[in-house]
This record gives sequence, C-alpha cells and structure tokens, in this order.
Amino acid sequence: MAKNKSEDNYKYNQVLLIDDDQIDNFINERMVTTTNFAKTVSVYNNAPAALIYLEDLLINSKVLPEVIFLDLNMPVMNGFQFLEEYDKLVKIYPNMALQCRVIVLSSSISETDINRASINPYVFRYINKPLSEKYLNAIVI
Amino acid sequence: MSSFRFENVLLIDDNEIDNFINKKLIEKAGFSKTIDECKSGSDALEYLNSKFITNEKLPDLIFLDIMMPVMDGFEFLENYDKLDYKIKSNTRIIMLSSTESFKDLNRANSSKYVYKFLNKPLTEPVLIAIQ
Repeated sequence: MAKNKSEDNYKYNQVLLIDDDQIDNFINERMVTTTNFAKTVSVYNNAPAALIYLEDLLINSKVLPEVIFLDLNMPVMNGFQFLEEYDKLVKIYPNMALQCRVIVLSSSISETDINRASINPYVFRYINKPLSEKYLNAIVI
Repeated sequence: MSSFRFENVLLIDDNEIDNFINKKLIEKAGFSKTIDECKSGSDALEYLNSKFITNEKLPDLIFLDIMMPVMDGFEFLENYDKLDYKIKSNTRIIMLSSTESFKDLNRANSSKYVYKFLNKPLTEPVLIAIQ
C-alpha cells in the first residue's frame, strides 16, 4: 500500500498553495499529493496569511516549502503584491530565495501577466490552470 | 573574469535580426562570456553533438525560439531528449515565444528541459531575472 512508501518517493517535502479559490485549492492539493509531488501541502486562501506563515517559519528557523504555488488574481493582496512582500522577506532572510521557488499558477493568459511574472526573479515558472500531472512532472528545480 | 553570469550561451533562432539584438543585449549586460548562434533546431543539435564529441564547453543556457522552419522549437526539444544525458546535464533551456499563444506556454511547461518561458523581446530586466 501507499502507506508503506518511504519519503524518498516524494519529489518534494513541502509545498505551499496560495489561492483564494477553494475549489482550485482542493483540486490542486489532491493533485500535488496523489502524484507524490509533495509529502505535505499547506494551503492559504489569502496572500497575507501565507506571508505570516512564511515569516513564522523563517523566524523559528523551520524548514521552508520548496515550492510555492501562487495564484495571481486574489482579493486584498494579489500575486504580484505578494511577490513585493516576498522580496522584503528575502532581503532579511536571503536563504529563502534559494530554498523556495515560486511557481505562478494562474488562469490568466494575458501577455502582460506572463511578462510581468517572467521578469520577477523569484518566479520560476508560469503555469496556466488547471495544474496537471504533466506540468508537475516537468518541474525540475 | 568571473564577472560573467554564464560561460557560454547559445541562441537558436532563424531570425537574424533577433539573434543580432539578443546577442548585443547579452553582451551589453555582461551576461555571458561567449555567445553562439544556430539558425535552426537541426543546426543546434549538430552544434551540441560536435561540441560534445570534441569535448568543448557546452552552453550553460540555450535561448530557443519556437517558430522556425525545418525544425521548430518543440521539435528541437523532442530530438534534444534523445541526446546523451551528458550533453544536457548542465544546460538549461529558455523558450522565447513571439506568438501570443498560451498554448505554447502550456507545451513549454510540459517539458522538463524548459527552465523558463519568455515572450519576445528579450530585455535587460528579463536577463537579470534569470537565476
């Protein structure tokens, strides 16, 4: 049974999902775990809460998620605003940029969004929703 | 000496003007020590194989155009997959698209060789963002 599998079967230990859409979160969490992409998934439905979570991990020198899936279109704080705040955290904790990779997961197909995300140094990839096993398999960090 | 981010960059694009501009941009940004160019996917495969055989420095980074005659960017990737793993081990591919098609983005994201997908034109902030 799957329960007996060792940790080595997981591609990554920890993944963070930031998306205001509950259904997307549900599907993506399932996708990430059933494909053995990550052992654990933390889900936040708003960017400020995810920042607090990350800051808490940093302050307490805890293990950071290797991959952060970030939605762009979110109320209160959108994906790009999150990246601005993320940049401030990296300035204080430079190791974070080496330990975490941000993957934008958006349903936006606007050139402007793709280009804006591409010039962000923390954005490793821009994936169009829905997240699929094919895309997860192609992620090599 | 070590002021260059990369040792060798390869441009694969049939468009000479794009190659010229990208080359100038990379030079100006001090991004790579040497820049080579190939005009098609098949030329690039030959280039990679010959560099490998003669034990020369393989590119650290490849900028791959999508729309090319004879062998396009995605066909190049299919053939690249068949190359000796030693050729591929230290090389990352950045796809450059000039089409407004998100289908290309999705296809690029399905390839484990594609490190990044960018829309043309290549600009200095984009180069800076490449880790």
